[in-house]
Amino acid sequence: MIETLEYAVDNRELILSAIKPEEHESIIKRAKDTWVEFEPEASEERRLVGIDSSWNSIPYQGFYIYAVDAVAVLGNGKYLVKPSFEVGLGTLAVRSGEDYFSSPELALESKGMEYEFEQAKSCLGSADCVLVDGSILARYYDRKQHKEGSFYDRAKELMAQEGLLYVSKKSYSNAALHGTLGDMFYYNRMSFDPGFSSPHIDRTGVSVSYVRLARDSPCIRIEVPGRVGSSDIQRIMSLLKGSSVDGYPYVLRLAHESGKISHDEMLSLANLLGLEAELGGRQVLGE
Amino acid sequence: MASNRGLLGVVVGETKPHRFRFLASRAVSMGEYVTVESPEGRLLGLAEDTATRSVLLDKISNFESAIEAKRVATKNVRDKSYLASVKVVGTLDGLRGGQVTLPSLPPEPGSEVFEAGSDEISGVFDRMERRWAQVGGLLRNPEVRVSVDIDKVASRHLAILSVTGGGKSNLLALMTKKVAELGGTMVVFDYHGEYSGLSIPRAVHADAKINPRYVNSDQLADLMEVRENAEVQRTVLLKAFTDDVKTAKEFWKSLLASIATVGENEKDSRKAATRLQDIVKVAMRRMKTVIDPDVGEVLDQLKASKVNILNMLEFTERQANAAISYYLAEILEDRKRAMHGAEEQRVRFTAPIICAIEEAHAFIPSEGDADTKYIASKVAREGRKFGMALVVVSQRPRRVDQDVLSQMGSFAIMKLTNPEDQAHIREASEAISEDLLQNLPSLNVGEAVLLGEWVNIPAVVKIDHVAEKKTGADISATSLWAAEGKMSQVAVESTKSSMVLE
Repeated sequence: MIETLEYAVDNRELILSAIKPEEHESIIKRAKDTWVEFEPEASEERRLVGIDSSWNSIPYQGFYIYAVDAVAVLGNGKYLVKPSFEVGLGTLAVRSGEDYFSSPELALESKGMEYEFEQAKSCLGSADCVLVDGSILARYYDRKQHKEGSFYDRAKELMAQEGLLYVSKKSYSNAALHGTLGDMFYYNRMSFDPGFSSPHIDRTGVSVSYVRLARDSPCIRIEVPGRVGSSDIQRIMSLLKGSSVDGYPYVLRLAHESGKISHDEMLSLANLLGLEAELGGRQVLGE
Repeated sequence: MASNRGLLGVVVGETKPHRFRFLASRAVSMGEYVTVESPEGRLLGLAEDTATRSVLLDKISNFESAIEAKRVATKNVRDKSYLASVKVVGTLDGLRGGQVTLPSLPPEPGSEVFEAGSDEISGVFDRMERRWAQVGGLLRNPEVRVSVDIDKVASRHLAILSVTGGGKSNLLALMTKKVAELGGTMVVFDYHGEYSGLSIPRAVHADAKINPRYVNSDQLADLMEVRENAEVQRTVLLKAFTDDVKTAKEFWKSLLASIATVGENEKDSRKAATRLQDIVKVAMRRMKTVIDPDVGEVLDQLKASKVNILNMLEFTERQANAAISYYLAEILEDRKRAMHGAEEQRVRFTAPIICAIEEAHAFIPSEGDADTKYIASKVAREGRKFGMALVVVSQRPRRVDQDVLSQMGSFAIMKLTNPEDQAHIREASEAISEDLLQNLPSLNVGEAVLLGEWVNIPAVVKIDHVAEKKTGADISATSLWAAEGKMSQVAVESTKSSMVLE
């Protein structure tokens, strides 16, 4: 580890040169060209629900113990529908074509997304807007790249589902501006005022816009299934404005807090299952 | 109210037999009593520390975000959490029977916590026996009266500690009233003349006076304000203050003559003797209200079975120090005689006596020596055997001698803001916890934490107001100026009227 720190000290300027604004002036200008200034007025109180999933696992010799949980939370902190969850033990393998390979991250994230979708479907019709944490497109392309079949078809279905809105705090996609860094980097630097980028339609048919709900707050990325225009984005911004803190929807913050599975909780789970004595990977490393 | 009136909270985290925390459905006040189920029956606990937090607002760092967060968090029932830290004071059944029985097992996490109902706990705090005296009501359950054990005060001492204006003198006045009601004997060294207006039955007001014939030369030097480092003057006085002087009919005249003789006989002391004579003359002229060779012994000034308020307003600090030490020493000797079965005519106080010292940080200081400190330490250590107790009152506990403070069996701690004061008390008494200390700044005037032997269990109390105490409150300068202005105006008008008439 010490050698990496030493390198970072010696090469600080070089490492940080990638995010120097002067290196990105042309793309920042392009971002400005697509930006629409818009100060949303909070619409009358609407019933929003935030959906998020969480997963965690503990590696043992030859298997994992894992837990996945997805929740749908209203602004009053209550669940709109019963959470979807799974606790299990296995190798956490995923299918790629005809093959299987062990990837706990991919396997558990896929399960989490399935449960999120289950939650979202149950919420449709009971809320004015269903917000799902994260990017459906990122997950879709990730799985496509891995040829991970089990979730692939489900993702397509999700991307066609009306009434859903996907919201990301972070994004590394450069599909809109084609810069060397993610689009979000440029939109966060070109303005501090509220507004949005003109919707970009992905080839899957999902519309993408970067949105700043309040002055000086960070941009968020929203994905809406289907083709939407600027007026739709403005309507969505007004819908989110009244129940957002620091430009981020409160229901998603609540969903994150409610569904989160911490390492301590995993240890409690292992304890409940009587697995304290089982030799785990961490123990091998002496951690 | 009964204990099953409604759930207040649920025990969380690690629990101990003497302490637990719970998450509550509402904000819990410091000083609130709660009950909780335990393997050994219902326990009574005192909320010593409480906290309220908002999950969302905890993470906010600017005003704009805080406004947004406030708006959305108020709609979320789960956003706020109310956590209380509770000290277990005993099993409820034991306390109702007058016994403090601490459990050996802690309440289990998940146990339900209830508000302690007034009907459940009144018997715990309000005792009927003669030795118990009511001093106020529980701060959070005012209808529950709180009694203190006067026998414990009379045998194990009491400290009343608070910032200025926190209610110390009202509590001391209340103690004098209760002792008077019980026919007890008490002496209050009223350094600021605060109790001169105290009008209660069995109170005797007297101006403290010291007969110089009965004190030693150092005490006389202090009474006459001879500087502490004026060693030659003090040596001259030691030599001049002979038995003949003490018994002389004309005390001052005799003392002056004796000092002159010492000065004449000892060349090196001549100058000091001359200076000392000047000091004696000043004392004769200006201190006759304090030093009086014709007054009786100090014990003659005190009455048994009465509350003796000794006005010391005329005393300087050094004089008061000498005087209080003298009174205390005489009282202690008298109590020793009484306990050793001396002839009745040689004993003034046949029953225990309580002596209250205001401004204890001045007379029983933590640093340096003082006459009172020496004798007060002795009384603090040995007084119990002889039926003599101290009530030590101070607004600067950190400056009160730790040895004396640690001998105090009971405490009334009111508002205290200085962390050093709090730490000093913590060192002196194990009865007070860190949580409770940290909450002392939030007490209001007249509110006190009663701890130690004079109460069954720690009690956070609103002390009864003593209406009979007429002085001691802060002076309203603006009201007095206004009144004075009106009087002047009346005087001017009156003068004008007179002139017209003339």
